[in-house]
Amino acid sequence: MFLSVLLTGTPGRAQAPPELTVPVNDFADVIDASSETAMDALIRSLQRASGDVVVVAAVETIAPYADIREYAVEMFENRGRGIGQRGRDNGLLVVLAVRDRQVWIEVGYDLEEFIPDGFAGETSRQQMAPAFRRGDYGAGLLAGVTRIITRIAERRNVVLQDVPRDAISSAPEVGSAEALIAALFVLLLVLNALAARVHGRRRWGGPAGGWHSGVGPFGGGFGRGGFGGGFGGFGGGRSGGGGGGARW
Amino acid sequence: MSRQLRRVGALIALTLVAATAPGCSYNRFVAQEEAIRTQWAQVENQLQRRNDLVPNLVETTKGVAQQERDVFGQIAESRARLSGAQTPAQVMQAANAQSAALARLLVIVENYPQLRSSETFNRLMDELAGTENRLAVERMRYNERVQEYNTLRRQFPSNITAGIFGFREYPVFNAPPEAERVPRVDFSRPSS
Repeated sequence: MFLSVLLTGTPGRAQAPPELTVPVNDFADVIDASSETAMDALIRSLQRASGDVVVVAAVETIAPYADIREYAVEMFENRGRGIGQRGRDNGLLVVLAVRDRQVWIEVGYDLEEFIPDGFAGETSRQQMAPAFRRGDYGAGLLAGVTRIITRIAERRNVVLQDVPRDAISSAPEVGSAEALIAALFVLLLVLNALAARVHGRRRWGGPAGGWHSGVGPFGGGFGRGGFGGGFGGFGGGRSGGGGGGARW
Repeated sequence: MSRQLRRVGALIALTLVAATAPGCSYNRFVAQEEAIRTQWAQVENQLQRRNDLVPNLVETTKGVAQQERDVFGQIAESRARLSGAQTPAQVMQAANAQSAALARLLVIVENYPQLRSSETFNRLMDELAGTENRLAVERMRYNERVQEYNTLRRQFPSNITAGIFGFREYPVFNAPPEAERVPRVDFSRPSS
């Protein structure tokens, strides 16, 4: 009888995806430190520049969920502290399910115009999946995140600052002019980051308004700080199932 | 003060209390109805988006898979039905027919490797899968709103309010079994 309850119940509610708290959430413990640092810096840099929030999560498996898309929608909501800002819905989530050999990019409503499904699918197939196939999860994620963030920054017309040192060395071969440009871009950011380090850590904060506007059970809240200062990327943004992914 | 006057006063007070009391739920009904309509509009947006995608999809696949007349016929028919649908119930029915037809097409194109090796086609499949997924998400959110509302409508004492003010039941958008899961797109082959 218990079994039948287990089988027919709604597994989604019973075992929700883990809570996201930082830019790079490595629940599966598969991302190397340098890729993680590089992604963290890139993500924070984008948020400072445009307010958009990209979050990465690596999990062992999406089970008991049957479909990574369903899982991604639930994870994006993040128990009421959805990715991005409330009302702007400017978040994006990259979910890697290691054992299921799947990746999905879930795009917040506001970013759908910059990251259409085709772009998300292509990034998954061409930037991420080849590295994942080799078991190089950190590098694959970094390559995908770099392409996504570069695109958002381009379309938002913002320049990223304070970005990482290892982004280039650990990015897998992509072999296109686009990748080269991205790499140069990142290099520029690295130099910036080094310069900024001299000035000490800057506060990582979103735009002043809009973060606490929520009321009720889904009150916009600041995420808890992981490493490297608090991450205010979980302000109650929403997504509607748009995005793309790959299997390998 | 006459007894009658006091009685009238008490009646007015009672009515006021009833109208604003949490148990009466009039305002909650109004708010939830509004939420349902907003969410239904989201569902329709996604249906429209998918409908707009269909000609492109048919165009791309028809050249290669022209012998699959049945499925192209079904898709065209569902598209026309969706455009002509008047009531939410008709929209749901037509949308489900379209979901089923598209799911069939996705199964069929698996047999045409020349399609799968084209990045244009893959991107189109991404758009279709993404749209189906958006539709599934918005449909689920719509159903959540409706369930919340319909539950309130049947509970005591708010059912009395619903009866007095004529809050009607809203239909749940059930996906047909074959379309419950988003059509599976096989991403396994990398394109290059």
